[in-house]
Amino acid sequence: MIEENYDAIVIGSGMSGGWAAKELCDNGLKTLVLERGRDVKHLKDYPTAYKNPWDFPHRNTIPESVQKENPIVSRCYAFKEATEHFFVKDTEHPYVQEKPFDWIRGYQVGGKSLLWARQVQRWSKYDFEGPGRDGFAVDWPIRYDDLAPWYSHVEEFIGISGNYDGLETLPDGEFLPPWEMNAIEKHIRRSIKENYSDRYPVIGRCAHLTEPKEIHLAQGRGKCQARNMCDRGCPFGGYYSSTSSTLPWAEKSGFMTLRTDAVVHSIMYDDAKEKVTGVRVIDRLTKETTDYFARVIFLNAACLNSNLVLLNSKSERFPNGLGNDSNTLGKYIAFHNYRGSMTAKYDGYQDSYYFGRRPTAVMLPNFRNVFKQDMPFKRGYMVHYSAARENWGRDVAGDQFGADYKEKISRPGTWSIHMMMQGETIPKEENHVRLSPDQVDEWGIPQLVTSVGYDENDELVLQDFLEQGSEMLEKAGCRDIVTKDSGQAPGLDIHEMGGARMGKDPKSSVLNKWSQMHDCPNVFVADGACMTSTGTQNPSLTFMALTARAANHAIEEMEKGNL
Amino acid sequence: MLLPGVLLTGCDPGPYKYELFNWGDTELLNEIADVILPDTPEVPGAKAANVGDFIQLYVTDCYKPKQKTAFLKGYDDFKLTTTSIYNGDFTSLSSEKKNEIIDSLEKESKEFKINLQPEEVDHFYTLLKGTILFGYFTSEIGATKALRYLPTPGEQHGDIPYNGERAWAL
Repeated sequence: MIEENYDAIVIGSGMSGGWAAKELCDNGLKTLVLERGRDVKHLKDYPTAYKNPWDFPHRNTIPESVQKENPIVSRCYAFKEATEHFFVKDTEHPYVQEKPFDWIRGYQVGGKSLLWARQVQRWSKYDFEGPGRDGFAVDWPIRYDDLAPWYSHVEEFIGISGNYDGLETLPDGEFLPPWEMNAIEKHIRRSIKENYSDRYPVIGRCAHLTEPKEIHLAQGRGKCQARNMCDRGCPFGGYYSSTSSTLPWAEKSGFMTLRTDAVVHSIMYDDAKEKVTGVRVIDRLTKETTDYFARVIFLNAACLNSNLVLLNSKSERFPNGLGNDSNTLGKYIAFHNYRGSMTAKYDGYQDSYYFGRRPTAVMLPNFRNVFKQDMPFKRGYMVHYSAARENWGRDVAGDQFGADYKEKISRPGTWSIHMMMQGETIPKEENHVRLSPDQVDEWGIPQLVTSVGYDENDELVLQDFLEQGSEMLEKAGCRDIVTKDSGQAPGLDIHEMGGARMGKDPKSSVLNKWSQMHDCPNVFVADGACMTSTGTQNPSLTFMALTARAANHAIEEMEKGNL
Repeated sequence: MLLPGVLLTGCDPGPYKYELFNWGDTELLNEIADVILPDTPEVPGAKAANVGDFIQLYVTDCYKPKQKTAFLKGYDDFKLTTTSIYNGDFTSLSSEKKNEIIDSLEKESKEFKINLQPEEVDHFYTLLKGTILFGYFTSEIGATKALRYLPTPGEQHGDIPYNGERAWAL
């Protein structure tokens, strides 16, 4: 058995792991980053980045045989010929679904930060106050003001575009110039503002460099080219991924060691020393075991895998999983309700079109139960909508074949609108993950059992969105409004959160206000697993801000000699 | 040294590259596709983009089993009907007759759609036409000539005047 010593170990190289690595290395800590998958180098390992549609054998469609073998990942909107090399195939990493759960994963350096939808909204004070005020989960141990400077810290570095809208429900950040709405999106926005005093749609905020600043150029990143082929990896570094941004930055410091193909078996607790001493790793390829030692551990393996690692980290002191005195580990898993969507058409604005492909949509911040509980359901939802002119797939006036037809469908058609919900779900004890007692993976690690489902509240929220969404589009003069409940399983939102929640009381939570284990202070968990509730915002920005905050707290505590 | 077998198979074209199709299908499918998307003054049509070849690949690899069955059955029927009614295969017919056949398929598939249940498979012609359109507009000719292809726009404008230009390919 080999041993290696570090100041800090970061488990996971994705969205938030990259941030832990950057903050720790920026402060001169000798940091080991563990990634279970293969290496992916910025620019070099984006094999499809410049491909044209006709360069893909099936024009970017995943063949039926691959879909049949991998039904779970095939349901993900981003799983295409252009991106399949960044996704975990179902067959490679099985898990046990006690209830249907589409677990979407990316096992490589960069993790899912290569693939994410890149939408970044701050939580509002109402989101942090929600559980305490409305009596669910546990009260967040922090408030908006605690996180606001860390939102700024992350936003300035990754670069996010947005408009200064001045909304209490969706606080402004450190914005680069915003993307533009098209004619019908502006029309719908005007109509919503006129008809509803509580609703204020804004242009989406996303982690794209619309106008790079010195700090972005210093990362070797450039302006977003409005290609919207982001999930292939961006050859311009136009959006934030840990691969293009935080990891190379940390590497440049000289303090980072990146170890790929490192499947984490467990975090090692020393019963005699009464603290965690390191991480046990099994090599993905050779299956050889290595123990790595460090003063502090950052667990950023992505929500469910962070739960798995903790549950599998057993010792005499923690027989039910590391830091699990509260017996809440693996429980109170929540996600975002994405089931509702709708389409509509609008006659008019035929004299307007657009240029370039915008990597965001219009966002309508949550307007339900914001200031007080006044709906028959808990919490609410954010609405995203966007519009485009119909393409060649439509029927036209006259013949549906021939020269005229071909010329007509080669031009833009009627405006078509798509609207979707992003609903908060309520963390509950029964929505949980646990270790399988008898099924293990290729490395002898117990498989994860997922037992996460919808509840009555989710149905009510869905119905409210379908009604309100239709009404808003109808009032804007849209026609042919068609609503849809996709019935999709939890997980496909790829916004799973919780399981090692933050809280004030060690008896009912795993982590304290610094995303630090109550019962095991040299371990920090600041990816999705730490979330006490889900809000209605896309969550990655909050994971990154919490991680940066946790890392800086750890550094201070180490300097004081407390860790 | 040449092995005897190599010499013997010299004239045999060997198995066709798509198991579900045969020699001549590329030509026939290109002919059908070209009735739907013909050459126009500035823009080559579906045959020029060799959509016929793509259809066979796409049906083989990307259709769901039920779609595949429906397509192959419909395609066989199409060949038989054309031969029996028009006394010749589709490729050799006059453009009037080709138009007549496609027109009747348009009508037939439209009627078929009226009572179609969500779990049921589309009419053969609907599947075929969908694949022709997809194959053509994602081909180099379709994307760059019928449409405007701009892989790296560099910037974005939400609301610009429209004066009849071709649609964006992406």
